[in-house]
Parts: sequence; structure tokens; C-alpha cells
Amino acid sequence: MTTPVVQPSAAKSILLLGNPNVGKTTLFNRLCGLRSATANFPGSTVEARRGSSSYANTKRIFTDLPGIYSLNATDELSSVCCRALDGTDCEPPDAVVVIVDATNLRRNLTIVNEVLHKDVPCVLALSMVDIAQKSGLTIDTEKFGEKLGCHVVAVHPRTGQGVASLHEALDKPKRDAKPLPPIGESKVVNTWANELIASSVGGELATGTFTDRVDKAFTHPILGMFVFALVMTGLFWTIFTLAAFPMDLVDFIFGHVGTFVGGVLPEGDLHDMVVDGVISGVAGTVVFLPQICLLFFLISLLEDTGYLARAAFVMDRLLRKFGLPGQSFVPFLSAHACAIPAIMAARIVPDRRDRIATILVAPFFSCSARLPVYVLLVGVLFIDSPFLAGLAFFGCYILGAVAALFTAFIVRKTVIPGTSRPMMLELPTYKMPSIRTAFLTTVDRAWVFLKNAGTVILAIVVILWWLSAYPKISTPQSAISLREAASITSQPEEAERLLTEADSIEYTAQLSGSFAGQLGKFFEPAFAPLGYDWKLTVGVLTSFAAREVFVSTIAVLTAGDDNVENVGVIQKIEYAKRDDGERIFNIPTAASLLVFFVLAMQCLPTIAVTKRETNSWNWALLQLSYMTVLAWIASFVTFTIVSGVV
Amino acid sequence: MTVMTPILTPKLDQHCIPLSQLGESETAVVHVTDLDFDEREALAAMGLYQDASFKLCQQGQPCIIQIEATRLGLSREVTSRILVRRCGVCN
Repeated sequence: MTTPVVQPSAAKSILLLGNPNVGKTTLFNRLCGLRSATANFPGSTVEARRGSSSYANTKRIFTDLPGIYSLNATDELSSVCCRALDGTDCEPPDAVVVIVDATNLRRNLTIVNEVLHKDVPCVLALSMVDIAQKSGLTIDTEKFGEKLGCHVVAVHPRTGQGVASLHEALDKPKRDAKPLPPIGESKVVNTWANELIASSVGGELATGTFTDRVDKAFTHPILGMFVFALVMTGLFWTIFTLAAFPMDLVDFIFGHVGTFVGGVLPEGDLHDMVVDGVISGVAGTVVFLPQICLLFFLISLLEDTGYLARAAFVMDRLLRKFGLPGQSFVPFLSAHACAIPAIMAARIVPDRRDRIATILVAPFFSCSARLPVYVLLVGVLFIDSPFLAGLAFFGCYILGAVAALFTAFIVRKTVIPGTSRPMMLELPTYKMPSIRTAFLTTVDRAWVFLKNAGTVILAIVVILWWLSAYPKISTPQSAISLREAASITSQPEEAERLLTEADSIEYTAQLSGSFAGQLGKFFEPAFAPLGYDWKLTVGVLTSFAAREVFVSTIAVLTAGDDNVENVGVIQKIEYAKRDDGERIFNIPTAASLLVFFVLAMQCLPTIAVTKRETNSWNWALLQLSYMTVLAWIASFVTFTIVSGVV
Repeated sequence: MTVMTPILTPKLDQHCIPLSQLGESETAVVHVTDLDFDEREALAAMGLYQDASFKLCQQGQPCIIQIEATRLGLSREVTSRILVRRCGVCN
């Protein structure tokens, strides 16, 4: 979760504002680099990145406001930008930098006019000047600034050219009173913009045919769909191929850290909590960090190329049949990383009814938090066939997408009747993606994930460990007898076997009598038709807080199981046993559990975000109950069918 | 606020055609729209306001138009409700 923005008073507060796709975030990354973090605007769920930058002994805090076309639009993003400029929810800014696309001055001058009407010192940063020059435009920045009454600086966010000049302009931001057209009078604003452009800009913008040709291919009904399928296949293939090595490495490191710490700490509760609780539990989540990083990195690259807007049109043909607009595709793609930013990204869907429908179905798309569970269960189901495992993995994504579309269809026929609003979307120019921007976005997202793993998930695994370790149960007589037999036998191998068996009996008895065991057994009847024992029931219940906790929970609950030794965390879970000695993850149960996790709303923060975004508990509770019931029914059917077949 | 004129205000003439019937590479100006307030507001913010001139890059689904350096993708439901005048006859 993100934290509210707190404006420090020591440093200068600078807002970055501008239209979408003008290079605002690239400039922010150039100014702040890694010295930034994602936060929420006060009183809203709108995310923004804030970062610091020092130049000539002056420290500045930059806030990257969301890209908007107008401050006077009725949507939440415009409202947030307005409040930030006015200092309604936070300290008023010391200055605002309006980033303006030099190739598109007329449209960008609308927001410039709106900012100049505010009583805030302003600097204009002209981006894409190089493209404008290549296209035949020359801009006299000094003259432009004189006419506007503020500094105008040409910047190249990718190379950093002009950033020093921007800092110097911010040292003494100018705000001369110049006649401005009234806001909202589009004809008058355009006349003003035309006069400004005529006085400071030379040449005519040449528009090439390259973009036309590429757009024809990318938005073509058949070719466009083929390109889309190719891009998405490449995206997910890259993620699963490239992430394998770092995932193994993380698993290996945590395994050795556990062994080392276990050897150093004396036997006792602290030893068990650190080794079986903290290390085992956190490892079960952090091992999937490489996949999450790759997903965010590739989505950021794709977004930067300008392709995603075209893909939205390709998807519009499909999504409209289910009552969703093409814009929903962007939240759905984000949902493959995490449902929370996806639900927030649904703000780009302009119509409220479309937006609510998008929010309701977004959590069906397989997020990265489900990956740990998929990897575990697909591994159990197809242990000897990587091809079938890959197919099952793909099937999970398809099942989630089908469930989302099916649900959207039902929603648009019942609770939100009607069709989606027709698409109208800006198609940004094609660009080479910025590796730096993608890297910084990935670092930011990875940090949020790690903070989550280090706080919420850590807390949950420690609580789980405690629940599974207390109350202390006396050692069963059978275990005592086995240990006595081991102490008198003359054969070392037999002694070891007896001791292992005794440990296992003691561990099972402890777990069964613990608070976690009691909780699992209490709820077990509700999940028994799906094939889950009490351990899996505990896993399902705790993963309600966050899906990825499931693997951590099972890791904690099976950590003391000595039936399997010298294997990694994942293998240890796969081989874990029920009280009756059967494997916890037999094929029907694993299949049923896989379906359950594809369809169930196992994520407390998502429910909270749905409530905030829809401003209603009704939608959040409808989403939760619908997904849970659907997951239960589908899992029951799966368990019954697979049990019959196997 | 940039707001497009409601549908009934301007007079329609014989030279007005729906955007969905404009030919590729033709330039035209927006004459009138039959869109609701939010849709008009969104289009105007992106540069497609009344009397804005543009070039049609691609007809179909989506219809792609270019207003100076801005490329907009519009679905058929939108283009059929925007009446435009070809630049040759608009003035």
C-alpha cells in the first residue's frame, strides 16, 4: 500500500504537469532518478511519484502529477491536479513546471493557459524539440517566454539536455502579467494560441506516412489481432523464461540462509520462529520477485513504444461484445501484475458505468501474486511434463480472462445494464522505449512489493508461525516409544529412521493441536468438498489477506515436516503430507485449488481499493461474494471430475 | 472549459457529411456533433472541437484522424455522429 504525500517545508516543492504522452515521467526520472517513491495524493487514490533533486545547493521535491488534457475537466485526475496547484490538500507548490510537447503546441497551450490563470510561478519545459526540429519546426523559446510571461526551456528528458537550464529557471521562476484568454472559450483560446505560435514558431510540421502504415497494420482486424497475440505471447514467454534463473537463485539463497541461521541460533522458540516462520515464509513470496520485475519492466517498455493505445483498439472489437470498452484492456494488462494498480488504472475508462464493470472483473485476470500458487500447483499436477505444465499455466490465464469476460457480460445484462461507451483515444507517436524509464518504474514497483513482503507478509507469517506453534502440545506416547527404540537399537540407519518418524509424529500432533490447526479444522467442512484438509483450509483462509501468502502459509505449516529434507522451499511444500500420510497436494486437490485461486477474490487490499474507487461497499462486497461463490462452485466441479478421472 | 456546441445550434447544409463517410487523406473541419456532453468535452480536450480542422488518416474501426501532431483513434459509433465539412467546401 502507498502512503499519503507529506509535503516537507525545507525543500522547494515543484509540480510537474502536462498532457499525457509529453515525456513528463521521463523528465521526472531524469530529475530524480532513484530518489523517488510512489505515494497517494492526500484524500484520493490517485498515485503519484515524488522525488528529490538537488542543484546548486537547492533541494527540490518534484511531484509527477497525472497526465491530463485540461484542469477543468470533470474527472478525478483533473480535480487532483487542480487541488495540488491550489494547495487545497497540501502545502501550495513553490512553482509548477508545465511540460509541453513542442510538436503539438496548440493543444498543449490550453492547459498552459489554465495554469497561467493560477497564482503559481510557472516554467514551461518544451519536450520533443528534437522531433519538432526534424519535422521542420523552429521555436524561439525566448520570444515564446516573453509572450507568455514565464521562462520557457527546451529539455530533452531522455538525454538530460536542458535539465540544468530548467533548474536555473526554477531558481527564479518568472510570472509576468500578460493578457490571457478566458478559460473555456475554445475559439478565443485558439486564437491566442495561434498568435503565440505565429510569433515564435517557424516552419510547418511535416507528418510522415510511416505512422499511418504501422497503424494500418496494428489496428487491422486480422493482422492487428495477430500482432497482439504475438506481442502478448512474447511478453509472457520472456517473463517465464528469463525469470527462471533468478528465481532459482533466490530460492537457493533463502535455503542457505535458513540453514545458516538455523545452525547459529540455539534450538528453541526463537530458532523456530526465525527459520520456520520468517525465513521460510518470506522466501515463499520473495522468490517470485524476478517475475514481477520483468512484467513491470516489459509493460513499461510496451507503454513507451505507443503500442498499447493501438492494442486497446484491437481489443475494443472483442471487449465491446461483453459490454466493456477497449480502454479496459490497459487495466486488464496491469492486472497481470497486480489488481490494485489495475483497478486504479480503470480511471482511464471515461464512463463511470464502464469503469465499474472494468473494476468488478479486473481481479479475475491472473496477477503476479497468483504466480507462486500456480507454479506450486502446476508443478504438482505435471511434475514430469514441462510442456503440459506450461499449457496448464497458460490455461490459468485463459480461465481468468474467460471468467472476466463472462462476468462482464452478466454484469452488463443485470446490475449495470447497457453497452460500453464508444472509444476515442489519443494514439501517441511511436517511440523507441526508454530503458531508463522502464528500469526506474520496475525498481519503484519492486520496492513496493518488497516493502509489502517485509511488512504485511512478514507480520502474517510470524502470526501464522505463532498460531501453529501454540499452544504447546505434549509429545505423543508413540513418538516417545519410537525415540526409546532408536536409543537402544545398534543399527545407526534404523535409529535415524525411527527418530525421523518420531519427529514427524510429534510435529503433526503439535500442528494439529495448535490454534492454526483448530482454526483449520473448524472451517474444514466448508472446504472438504473441494478436497482440502485443514492445512489447506488454513492456507486458503490466510491467503484472503493476500494470495501470495498461501505459499508462505503452507511453507510455515510444513516447515517442520521432516519427511522431506535437503530440498528447496517449493519442493518441500509439494511433498508435504496430510495427517493420514497422504500427500496434501494430490492431483484432484491441486487441480481444484488451482481453479479456486484463478477465480477467487483472495486479496483484502483489492476489496479496499474497489470500495474506494467505486465509493461504495456494495460493489466491493458484490465482487467478493460473486468471485468466492464462483470459485467454490468451479473448484467443486473440478475436484469431482478430476477425482473421477484419476 | 472547452465545450463543443450542441447539435441543434449550427445549420446543417448539403456539404456536411458524417466523419465515417470522409475519404482517407481528406482534410475537413468539425461542423457539429451528436455526442453527449462528456464525449464532446473529452474530444475537445484532445483537440477535436467545433471548427477544428483535421486530416483523416484511416477510415474504419478505428477511424484515425490527425489534428496537427495529435492522432486520435475513434470508433465507428463516434465517427457516425460527427458531421464534418470537407476543407474544399467548408469556407
